[in-house]
Amino acid sequence: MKTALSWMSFGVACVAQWAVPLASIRAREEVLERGAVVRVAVMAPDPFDPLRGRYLRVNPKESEVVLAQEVSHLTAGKKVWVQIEKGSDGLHHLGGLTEKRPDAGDYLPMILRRAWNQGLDSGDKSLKFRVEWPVDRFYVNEILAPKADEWLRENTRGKKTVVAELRLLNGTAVITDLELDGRSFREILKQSGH
Amino acid sequence: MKAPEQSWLLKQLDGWEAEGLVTADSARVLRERFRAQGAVSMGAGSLMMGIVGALLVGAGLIVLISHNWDDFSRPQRLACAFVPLLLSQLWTASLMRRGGVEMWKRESAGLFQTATTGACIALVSQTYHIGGHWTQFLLSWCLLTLPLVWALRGRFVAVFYVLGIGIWSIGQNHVDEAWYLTPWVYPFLLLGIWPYCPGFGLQHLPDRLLRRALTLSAAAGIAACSSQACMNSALPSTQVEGTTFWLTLLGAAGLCLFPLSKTGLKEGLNAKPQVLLPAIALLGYAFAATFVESSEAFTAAATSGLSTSWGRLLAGALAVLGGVAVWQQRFALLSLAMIPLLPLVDSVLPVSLSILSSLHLTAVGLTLIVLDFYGKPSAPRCGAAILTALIFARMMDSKFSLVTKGIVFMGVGVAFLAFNQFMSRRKHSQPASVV
Repeated sequence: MKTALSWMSFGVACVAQWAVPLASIRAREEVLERGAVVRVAVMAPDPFDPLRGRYLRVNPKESEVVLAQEVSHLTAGKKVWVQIEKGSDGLHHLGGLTEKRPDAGDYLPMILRRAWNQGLDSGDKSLKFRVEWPVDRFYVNEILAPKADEWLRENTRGKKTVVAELRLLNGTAVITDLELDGRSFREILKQSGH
Repeated sequence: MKAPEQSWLLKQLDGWEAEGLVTADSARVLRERFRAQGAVSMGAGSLMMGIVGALLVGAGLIVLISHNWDDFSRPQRLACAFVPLLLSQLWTASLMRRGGVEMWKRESAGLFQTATTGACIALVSQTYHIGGHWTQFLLSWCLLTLPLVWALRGRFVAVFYVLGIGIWSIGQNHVDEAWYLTPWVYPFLLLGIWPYCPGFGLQHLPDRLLRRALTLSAAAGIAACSSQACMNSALPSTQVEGTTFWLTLLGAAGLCLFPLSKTGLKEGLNAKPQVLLPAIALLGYAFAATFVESSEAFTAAATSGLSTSWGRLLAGALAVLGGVAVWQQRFALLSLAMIPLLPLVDSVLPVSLSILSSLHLTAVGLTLIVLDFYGKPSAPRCGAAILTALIFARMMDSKFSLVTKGIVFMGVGVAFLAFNQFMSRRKHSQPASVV
């Protein structure tokens, strides 16, 4: 009996250890294959994750929303669905915000957070919130990371905009590249001899 | 007892049983106890080598992954993630199928599989640039290894899980999260190791290593829940820190009163980290309070802590555990566990917190000594150390001349040495009980 339980637990462990990453892979492969291309303006500094290596933190520049009347009851911490709409500048921007998952279009789940200037003790009910994007990092090779960081710092000081290219499908997004003036940062780094 | 002594005892048992010095039942109980402990200590060298080996291989794998081999295609990188996982699972399965393998192999296999699981999910999230806080990663990792704790009964994987959820709870302190993403889930996560320790029939008591891990993890969980309770309450932000600390201390007081079996009561203080760690924190707090001129901040933290639901829950738990401690006659610990309540007493009595804390510490010190003479669980040397430290502290902030202070210091030192000598002689004449 005890042995059967041990084997059962071991089986659960093995299945879960395969199922969790495989489910994650399947969802993202589907997004990469069938997802719409979305381009978002970002800032990208270079932190380090001790387990997963170096990455460029992808901070979409657009991260503040003002709640419309019909969703004004929402509070910080709530999950919302935000439409991603293409603008006249060729980039994608935050659109309408709903509590329920939209039936169509390009959208992403985001978490509402208090706006930067809204303190914990203020207690006032502001309609201005920050949204937390579900994509926040782009892992890069440890040799490339410092060069990419330096290059990004040089190029984001002025008026140039670094753009994150995402694939988006049914509310799941996968970052595929970072680019400047329509060129991949890897390509630019290679050409500039970084 | 050390390994050679255990080995000697086991060898003597047959002879003693034949001579009628111990009964057959007593001999069986002693054999079971010391054989289990002996198995751990005699294989300690192999065990440590196995553990270090598994950890090094696992750490190497994770560091290799951190390099980010972006020259590889996605399928190649995913193969790098799953092949080590598969190998570790096959190794563990083969050990389980054989049965009765050495402990070091079982522990190493468990840890290796834990490491390859972490490496696998790390590589997948790196390949697809999956975001999220590091705590989400840690929690996924811990949960994926939890069934291994039940399957292999490996204590090092259990220690990994227990410490992992403790670290997760500390890192998961966010104001705006749903409750199931905050440290409030910690108690449920801790229940995850129940099938392994103590087991459904309460038959597997934790060994010393797991006790230490459980204590550290529980302390982290209590601190995280206290912090979460304060952040979610309407307390002014200036009071959050102090109140969090007081609530953590209240939880620590409850932790040190955790009920013990009869065998557990007889064990030394070194075997009870759940008593030792909170006791140090509680005594530190009490000593700090003796230096306080104005108790306003202490009292405000305690009263606002008690106004939160978490504070009331902790106080209720402390009352229940205090009742059990009275029943188990653990009066020495009870006197320590009362320390967080001093600021509350101070708010209703016309005595300063400094005097109240000094009086209470004196009472704790005397209690720890006096109980020993009545054969109750106690710690006379700790009591003497508390009284000595208290006298030093009061002398330091007194206005006596240096000559007076010097004479008092020498007097206390001589008294301490004499007391130590007295207790040593007493211990030889009769076995002393402990907290």
